[in-house]
Amino acid sequence: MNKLKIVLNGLIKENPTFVLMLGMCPTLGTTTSAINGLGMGLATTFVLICSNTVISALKNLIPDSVRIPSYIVLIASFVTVLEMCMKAYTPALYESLGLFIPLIVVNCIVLGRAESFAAKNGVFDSSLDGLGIGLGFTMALGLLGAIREFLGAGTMLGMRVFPEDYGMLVFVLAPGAFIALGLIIAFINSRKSKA
Amino acid sequence: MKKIASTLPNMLLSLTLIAVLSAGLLAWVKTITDEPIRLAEEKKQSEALARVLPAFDQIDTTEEPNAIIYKAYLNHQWVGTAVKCTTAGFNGDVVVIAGFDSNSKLVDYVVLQQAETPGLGTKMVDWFKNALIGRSMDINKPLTVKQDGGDVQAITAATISSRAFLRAINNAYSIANGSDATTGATTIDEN
Repeated sequence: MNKLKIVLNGLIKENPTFVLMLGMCPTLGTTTSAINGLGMGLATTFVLICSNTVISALKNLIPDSVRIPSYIVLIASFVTVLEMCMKAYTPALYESLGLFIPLIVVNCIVLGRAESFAAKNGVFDSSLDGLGIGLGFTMALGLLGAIREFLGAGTMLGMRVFPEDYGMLVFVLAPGAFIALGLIIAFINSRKSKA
Repeated sequence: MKKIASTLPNMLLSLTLIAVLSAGLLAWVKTITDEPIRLAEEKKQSEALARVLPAFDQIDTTEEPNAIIYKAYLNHQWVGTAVKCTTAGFNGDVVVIAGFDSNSKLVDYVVLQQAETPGLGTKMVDWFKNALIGRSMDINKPLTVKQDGGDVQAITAATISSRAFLRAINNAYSIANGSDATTGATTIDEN
């Protein structure tokens, strides 16, 4: 498979949020603002690239029967590394994402890509797949976060666009996440069926 | 290289190896990040203290079971006390540090930790600043929201978070005022 195609595959054709519908929990939970969405997306991208690369490199040393526990140990280690680094260097972002960082361990996108791609492909291809899927996830979360932040709080990346009193609070709360995500997916599907 | 078979020794060996490697990686990252994490926390703490206290040149810290008391001195003269305390909010703990000057006026507060509803309870970080900064505290008249007969405007649609926040401020004041921390907390904590 062509290298660029692997990255684009994750970004568009198999976008984890809009097409595969994986990892809905952080998608709905962390996208209260564009910055939070992007931060969560990039954090997941880091874990995806590391776990895909290492799992692909070790795939022949891991017997099939213990592959799931092995993958989970590796993924959990990378998430903990990420958690410690974020605590040390970006404490503000770490605080706003809070519980969702350790929960990357059980994000089905990470384990899903380990199983369906890294366990079958080469090291370089796997890291590209991690990058593509991660960026696809980041893009989706950033977009959803931006929409919710704009409609709910009247700001764009923290800058005020219209007074907060006119914002629709529901978009900052959980129901708004479902509504906004549903509308985006409906829009994408309608484009796709026309094409 | 061929994939190794799922025999018991192979499985044990490969899992053990992965666990050891992961542990090594984690230990290494921990040694690197320990210092920056400590510094980040200290910085947050000292910034909060600088905001909630009048100018000071010396801090005297006392740890209580449910609070930390910071007594501030300027030229060996006591100028104010800040208290960091925790109450139960709408969603998890609310940790607030509040400072009072020598005239029992609330200097400022900083919400150090909270997980309230985004867009509602999270507004406590700034909401109460206008109403409370510079306010004289009275141990016999704890702050309460209007719904409970007080005079503090609660955050719209987040009364529980507002109560939790005021409880934290009241507790902080009663602790700063030298009253016994536990009894002070129980009389106010009852709602």
